[in-house]
Amino acid sequence: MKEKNTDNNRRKKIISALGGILALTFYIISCFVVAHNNSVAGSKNKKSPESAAKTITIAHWQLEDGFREGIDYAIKEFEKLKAEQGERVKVIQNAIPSRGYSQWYITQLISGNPADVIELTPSPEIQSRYFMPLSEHIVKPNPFNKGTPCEKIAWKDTFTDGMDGALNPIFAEYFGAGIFRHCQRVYVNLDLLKAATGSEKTPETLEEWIECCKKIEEYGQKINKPLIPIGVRGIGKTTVGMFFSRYFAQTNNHYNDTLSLFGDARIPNLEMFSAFGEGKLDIDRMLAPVEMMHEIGKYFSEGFTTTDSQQTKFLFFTGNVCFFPEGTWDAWSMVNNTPFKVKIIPMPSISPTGKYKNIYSGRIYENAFGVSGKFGITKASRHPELALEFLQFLTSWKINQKTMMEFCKWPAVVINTEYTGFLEAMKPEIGDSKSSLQCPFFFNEKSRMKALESIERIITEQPENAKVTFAKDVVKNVPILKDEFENVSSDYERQLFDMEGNRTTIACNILRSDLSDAARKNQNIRALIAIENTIARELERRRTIAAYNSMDKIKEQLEDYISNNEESVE
Amino acid sequence: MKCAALSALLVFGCTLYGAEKQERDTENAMLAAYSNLQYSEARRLAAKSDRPEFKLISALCDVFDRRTQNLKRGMPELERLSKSQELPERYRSMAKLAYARANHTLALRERVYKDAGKVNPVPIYEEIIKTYPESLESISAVVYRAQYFMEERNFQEAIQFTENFINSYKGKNRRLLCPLHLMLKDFYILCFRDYKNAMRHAKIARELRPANPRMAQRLDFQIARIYDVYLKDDVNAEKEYLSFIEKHPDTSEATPAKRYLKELRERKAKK
Repeated sequence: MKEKNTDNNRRKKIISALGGILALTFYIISCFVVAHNNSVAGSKNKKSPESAAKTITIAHWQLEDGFREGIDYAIKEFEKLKAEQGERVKVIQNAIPSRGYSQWYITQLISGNPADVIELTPSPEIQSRYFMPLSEHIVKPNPFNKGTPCEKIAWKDTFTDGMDGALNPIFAEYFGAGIFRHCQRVYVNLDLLKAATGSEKTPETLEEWIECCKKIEEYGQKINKPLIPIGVRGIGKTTVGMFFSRYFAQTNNHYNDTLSLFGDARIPNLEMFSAFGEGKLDIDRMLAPVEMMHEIGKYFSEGFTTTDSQQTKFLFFTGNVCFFPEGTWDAWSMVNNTPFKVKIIPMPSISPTGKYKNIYSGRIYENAFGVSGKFGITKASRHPELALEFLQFLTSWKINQKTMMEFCKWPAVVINTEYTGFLEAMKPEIGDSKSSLQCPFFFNEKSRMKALESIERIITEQPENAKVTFAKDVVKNVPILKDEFENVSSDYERQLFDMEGNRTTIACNILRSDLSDAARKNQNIRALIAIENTIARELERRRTIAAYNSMDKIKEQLEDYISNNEESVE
Repeated sequence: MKCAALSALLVFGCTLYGAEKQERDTENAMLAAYSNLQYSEARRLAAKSDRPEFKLISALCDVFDRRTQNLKRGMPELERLSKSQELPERYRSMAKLAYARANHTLALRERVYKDAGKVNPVPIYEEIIKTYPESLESISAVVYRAQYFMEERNFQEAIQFTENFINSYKGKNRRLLCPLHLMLKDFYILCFRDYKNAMRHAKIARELRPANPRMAQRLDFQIARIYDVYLKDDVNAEKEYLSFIEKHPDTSEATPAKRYLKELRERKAKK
């Protein structure tokens, strides 16, 4: 018995000791594994001399004079600032020709090794898949605005358009920030103007402009030189479109004040179609800009429909063109690379006291025009925080003005800027504080091209009744418009499905147990933005259906107009 | 003996904890991949487990990944999981809503998925609203249900349904109701040109603050214009224009706001 007890005790002691040894063994193994993991992580973080500087890349397609130099300046300043903060940083600029940019852009993103900061192309799906959302950052002040008038203002509100153009409505998110903006102006050969008219006084109204053009033509005949009063970029119908939109807005923008159903600053295009169908719009007044094009178009170059920008610039530089309507992107080279004096003027507006005084509604303001050159941060960036800082730096009040206004001679995107010297001509006009609006004779690209082709024919063929000729072409285009509305409505239907997909991505994010409180709060905000966007998108779909349903009534009204006004039409 | 048993328990506990942590980490990684639209990665991680929530993510990829969409496989699986009691509670409302709404929007495009029109999403929306009344999913479900009424041209029912939900809402986070007030503002204007009721909802939405800062700014402008143009209330219109100009001085809408204020004051002076 005693022996049995002793054996039992011995067994117990052995088992206890074994248990203790096991526990100790596991403890030692755990310590080893933890230490090993830490040392691996540590060696990854350990900076070798060669990799001490964090490097990011910025890529874009802007090859215009001054742009790359402006970005280089911003890079130097940023690197200097970071060095003062004890951080070695290198930023590399890559400029890609615009022709190959789209393919290069996609390839970069798919490869998983893109530049850190890239100029965006419009596709919302690509943006949402490959670019970092910015919404949590844009509601806070830009840290690089300390000590400036924009110091306490949310980053998004430091842009002239409040980042309106940057919201991706399908994914309820901001993926990029713009760094420049442009407007339309007219470049004037002052030497030629003076020789032809006896004065350097530039026209302020359409009527004065037509008078100047007549004199330039006469002068050309006098000196036996084929002078072109107005040089027009015909390819793409850009200039004709610009003229028509401007004069349409100046004669019809009062509809913004009276017909916007929801009280918006601008009546949405689709609501214009519905109002047209309900007989609320004055057709004769809406067609008045066609008559203006019929008049001013006489002074465009022969064959203008096939002239491109380079050809027109060449004609301008060689002193054969007096007025060249174009955007501000080429302003500096236009003014400095010519052997004669050049003045930049706003496009002459309709006179409030002239021939069209009874239908003149007022000049539109320009600070509504959206910001371009949007840059986003790729999700694949190895240094997303640094890339974000660089983007904030580029769009900061001081740097944006310096890079855009001083180097490129372009308007800046930030508010509270001063336009002095050369740039004074680019200062956004307030005009009569009227909002612009779109014409309900066309909707998307195909109907727009058809309408502008009609205007080109009216200019080149000079029919007796320009308004009736155009109205007939719009009637012919009704099937195209209906198709466009149907396609857009289908697009909206697809987008409503995609938006549900987006909602599930946000919901999945919220379901994560490893999300921080701040991130969860941000996702909840995104979820609400997504619901608001769904409501807005559904409203757009309804408006599109209403516009489609208005087309037959619009056609009837136009046919009535034609039969009441038709005289002899070529 | 006790020591050995404790050690064994410790080892077993650690193993279990490790396995659970790993699965939780995989679940989080899968959710993160899906939410970043990294569908291939989400599918790969979803394939690591047979748990219903993993299968749900796989089904969602089949439905919403347009590059490799497989509605024939994804939609029935989504339907099954949305009805499954094995799906963890926290996933259920999301699954039900995704299934209902996917059917609802696909029914508008029958050429893409012809079975969509066979499913009535309405009972599912109403179930979500009843079962999860204070969730984001219920807010979306109310919006979708109201839009369904609109498609049937039951405008009054769309408004009534939404207002009933708002009136019976007991949740603490009233900000969730903001989109519904925005929707009601639009409905009153679109369907009945009833600017009085539209204004009521616009002002509540403003108090609750739209999540989209652009929407908040637009709402301020709309309120001023509705007072001015449709309600002919000069006193409130003037107040709202001034407030807009003060709150949003550098925005594009500040320019017409200043003009409207000037015109309103000139009209008042003439009276």
